[in-house]
Amino acid sequence: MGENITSSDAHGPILLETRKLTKLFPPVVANDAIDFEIRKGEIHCLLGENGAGKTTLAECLFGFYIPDQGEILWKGEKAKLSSPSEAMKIGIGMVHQHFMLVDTHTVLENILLGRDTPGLLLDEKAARKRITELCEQYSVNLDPDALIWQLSVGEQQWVEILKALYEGVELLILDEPTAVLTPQESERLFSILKSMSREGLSIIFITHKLNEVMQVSDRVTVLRKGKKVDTVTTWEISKADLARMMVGRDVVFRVKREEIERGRSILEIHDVQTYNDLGLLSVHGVNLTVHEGEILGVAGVAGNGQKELFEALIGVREVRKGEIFLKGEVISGKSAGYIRSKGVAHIPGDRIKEGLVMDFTIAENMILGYEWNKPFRIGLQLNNKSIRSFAEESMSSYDIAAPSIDHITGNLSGGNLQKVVLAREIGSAPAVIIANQPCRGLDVGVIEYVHNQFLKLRGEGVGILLFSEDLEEILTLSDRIAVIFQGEILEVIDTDKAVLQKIGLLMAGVKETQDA
Amino acid sequence: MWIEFFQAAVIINILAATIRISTPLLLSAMGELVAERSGVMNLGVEGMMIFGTFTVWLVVFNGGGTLLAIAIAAVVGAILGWLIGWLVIYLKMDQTVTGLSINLLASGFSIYMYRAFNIAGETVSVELLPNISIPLLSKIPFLGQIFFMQSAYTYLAFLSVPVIAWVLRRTKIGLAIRSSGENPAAVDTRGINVYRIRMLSTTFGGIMAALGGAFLMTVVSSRFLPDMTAGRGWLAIIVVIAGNWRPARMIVATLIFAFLGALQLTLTTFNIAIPYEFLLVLPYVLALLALMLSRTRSAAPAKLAVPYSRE
Amino acid sequence: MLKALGLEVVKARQLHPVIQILLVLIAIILAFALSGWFINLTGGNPVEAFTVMFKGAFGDRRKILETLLRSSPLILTALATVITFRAQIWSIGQEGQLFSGAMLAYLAYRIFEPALDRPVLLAVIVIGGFLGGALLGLLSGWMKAKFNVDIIISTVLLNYIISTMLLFLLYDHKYWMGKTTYYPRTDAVIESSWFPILTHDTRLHMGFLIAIGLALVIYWLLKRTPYGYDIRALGANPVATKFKGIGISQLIMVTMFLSGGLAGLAGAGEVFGVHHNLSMEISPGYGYTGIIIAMVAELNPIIVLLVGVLFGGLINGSTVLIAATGIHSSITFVIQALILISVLVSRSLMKYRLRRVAHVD
Repeated sequence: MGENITSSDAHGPILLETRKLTKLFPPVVANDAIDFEIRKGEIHCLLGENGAGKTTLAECLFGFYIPDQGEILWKGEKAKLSSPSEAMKIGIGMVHQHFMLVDTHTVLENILLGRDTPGLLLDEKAARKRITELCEQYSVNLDPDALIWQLSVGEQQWVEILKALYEGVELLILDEPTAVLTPQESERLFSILKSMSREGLSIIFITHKLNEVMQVSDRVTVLRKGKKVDTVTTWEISKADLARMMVGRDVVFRVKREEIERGRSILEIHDVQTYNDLGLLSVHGVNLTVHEGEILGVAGVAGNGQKELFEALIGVREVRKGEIFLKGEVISGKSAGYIRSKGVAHIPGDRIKEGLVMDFTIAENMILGYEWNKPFRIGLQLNNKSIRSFAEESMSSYDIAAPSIDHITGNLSGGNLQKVVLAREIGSAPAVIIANQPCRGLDVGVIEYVHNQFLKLRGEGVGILLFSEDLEEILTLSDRIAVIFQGEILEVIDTDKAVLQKIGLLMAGVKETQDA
Repeated sequence: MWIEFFQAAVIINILAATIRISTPLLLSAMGELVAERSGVMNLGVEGMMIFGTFTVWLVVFNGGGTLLAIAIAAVVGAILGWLIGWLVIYLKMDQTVTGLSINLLASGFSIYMYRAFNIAGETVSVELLPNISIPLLSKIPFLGQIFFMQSAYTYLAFLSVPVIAWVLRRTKIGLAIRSSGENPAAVDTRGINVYRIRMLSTTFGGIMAALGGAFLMTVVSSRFLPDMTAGRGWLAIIVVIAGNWRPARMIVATLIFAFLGALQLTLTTFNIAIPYEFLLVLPYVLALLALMLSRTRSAAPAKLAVPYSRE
Repeated sequence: MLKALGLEVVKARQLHPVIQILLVLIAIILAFALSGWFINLTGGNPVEAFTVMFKGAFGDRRKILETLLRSSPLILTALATVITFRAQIWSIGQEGQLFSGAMLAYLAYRIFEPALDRPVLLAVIVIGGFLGGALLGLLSGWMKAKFNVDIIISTVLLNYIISTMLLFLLYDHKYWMGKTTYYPRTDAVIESSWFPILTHDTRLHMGFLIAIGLALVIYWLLKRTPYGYDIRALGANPVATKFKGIGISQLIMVTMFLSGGLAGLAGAGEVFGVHHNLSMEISPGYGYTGIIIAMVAELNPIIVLLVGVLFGGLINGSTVLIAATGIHSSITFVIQALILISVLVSRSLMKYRLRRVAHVD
């Protein structure tokens, strides 16, 4: 069984329980015979690496997925949660990691969607009233008629929570809620959650961040590769212990970055402005310089212009104003192919959508974008021999786990997919690498590998511009840190002199710290 | 010639014809709007219109009355809409190719059945629906003759626009439909069956398209020809795009295309030195230009033509 | 509905190739069965009809050669579809491009015929045919690249526009009108412009060899060249293709140009190899049939040859139907459409299978 609860009097009776819950996505066993329980008024964290099965378990509790085996008990009775509406009916609500909101509709419309009210019409008046009530209860400011895309990420998340609170839930599931929040917004969220739990609401909080677990939870259940490792009371355990449970071995918390001399500037970004997909100015004049042999980390919460800046740098998004220089030559306004040919490689934020063709073989993906270059091309044809030898070499040096280079890429795991991208980009011997969230969704082992690769390249004189929402990663790898907020670089700091709290404030837009 | 053309009577005629010609376009376009708002792009509108036209002819050929023919055409449209829906929503077949297949089937089917049933060489005439003059309103000079002396079919077609717009905006199911096209996952997590919503919308689109086609046989012409629809189904799709998925603008786009059609019909009777084919082609050319020059941000449903699955 | 039966639909893994082919054959047979039912409905005898069609298409050497003749334009329009659909460029303008190719070929003939010898004249006609279709295709590609107009819509509209334009020219324009005003068609083109015949006793002309040759070229292009790689990449993942610096607008325009050219060649072939004049009759929907063939052949240029001949047989066989059985030749359109739908459905079904719902206790 493995429950180490010593005092259960702080919380109420068991609210929801799973017994031997199993969910398969053949051939993967996402949840393997999991016994889990949560009590009334408890904040219970589900901790695990990416791919451990946390979200799958939550979706089973929410009725979005149907377990293949095992049972779920709600207040002691067997529950057949075959759809989200049934889950909501008994009082389970879920806030997903990727918001389930309709961007072009208003807050009101999003909350009204799917409400079981009598009649055919939407009852806007009643909804407005209830929304205002709830916002007042938790001191949140929100306009029911605002369009979702106009709201900040934190506000959008509150709309998601409202959806669950609206009809009254007893169990609220949150999937990685702080992934998109600044440190300050996260604090705010935690205090709201704590006051909710004091009122008797049970909360399941999915995360992979140890700090949050220690800060907010009463108990934590650790999942690893689909199985439950253990459930422990938070104040009785240490971060190191949790980390070991998560990963299965002692984790080295940091990769070592050595001091090296940085070279001359290689990539210069002057006053760049771009629009986003909605036609709004999202990058407001960014100035950055990347040097040879340096990693410049751009820290910031998602949605502050990183994506648009990244796309402008690699030539996929129009640069409205400003210029970009590579080794003194202008590359802004040029095509993506030209920029690439000049020595700028990139690791895109979404490897499946932006970096690879899933239907192609591994060998074919290895030359994506380089198919017209010699030696991959002889005359009018593709040079299969050199393509294959490059692919074979890459597979072995990057340790890509696949039967052969003719294997279809779509069957590879996330880590191996990223390795294919890396092999391809690094294999082109670039002068500059621009990486956007390179370790998103990867296992700790692969993350270590990727980090080491970056440091190696840095040692060889490559300039690396790293966009990451993971502060830990930024601190580990970067020589200097730039903080981006609402499309502007607020400050660039040497990592040695960086103070975590100050960076957190910068990420939230606070430029000057008032001395406390 | 031109002087005669610009007489009041002629202009009234053209405008009245515009309203009349708008009918099939409006019906098909509104049906397509609902389908597309839910996320399904139905390219088989042309084919469904042909089936609607042909069904009316077939029913009348076998002795049925006009109203019965229209009703059966609607049923046929529903079946076709349901079929396309099932293929693209459940089997997740590619929406472009599926729509085209229906068009090809409809076209071939109508040609063949027409020939097969027409062995005697005598076509069957459909009894046309009469125009209904709305009392009082039709007495208004100028406007009365244009707007209020149309057939019931036309009145209902124009009425469908505010009705559908209202349903989409203010009812629960309307919200569900709109949301399904923008973010089906969000709809799914609210416990609404996205597949069912899309099936409903697509079936509705089929009914409307068939009704649009049926109109051509019951008000406009009483003889069936295999190519009667002449691309109106495609124009309906363009109306949705040109109207930026908003009913009010769609009416404007429809009226413009219909006006050109009405112009073409009238000008040919006036011996004006513009080639007949040029006028025929004008709506299409205009449609192309409109699409090219349109600068407004597209309000296309975010997940249009993207099949949804939960896992 | 399925849930009530205790079943659910799940994604299936790849089926054995033999099973796949079998399923496609079953689909085709089903299509014929349905068509047979229609024929029955309208008073005909399906068995008799199909027998007559088969004999008419493949009955003896001359008929087979005639079938091959019919399949030439079909193969070309199908190839035109293959290169665009592979890139997920949904061009359905083959019919219009066929006509514009025919028109430009005819124009080239009129302009250059007095001055050129036969071999050069033929070359000019072929080039004119290619360019005529290619430019129309390029127009659609350009409208997409510059104005983001959907290719589906621009090609459909251009189809209507071109055919109306041709109608106008044939009825109303002195240069194009034939001496017989009864039918809208140009005068006959002189013999030195006729495409060379391959065998002395049939009408099979060099267009057929061109079609086969191009099928092989397209196969090579898609599989072995960087350009083919780009097409496949664009079709499989347009976003990644853009990110990796492959110029999408250019790719679309080039591909539409080539595709239009292929269809245009079909038009030139019909004018100068078969009918020997230009009229509205030169294509009873060959452009659309080409789309069907390409889809049934799963966008594989070599299989297109096979399916193209099959459909050529369908069309050839249907021409003798009315005399022998009283069934109108347009039944072939129904059969074609049904084959397409049933093959597509069977392919979609192959992706899924039914399985018993896992029980949640």
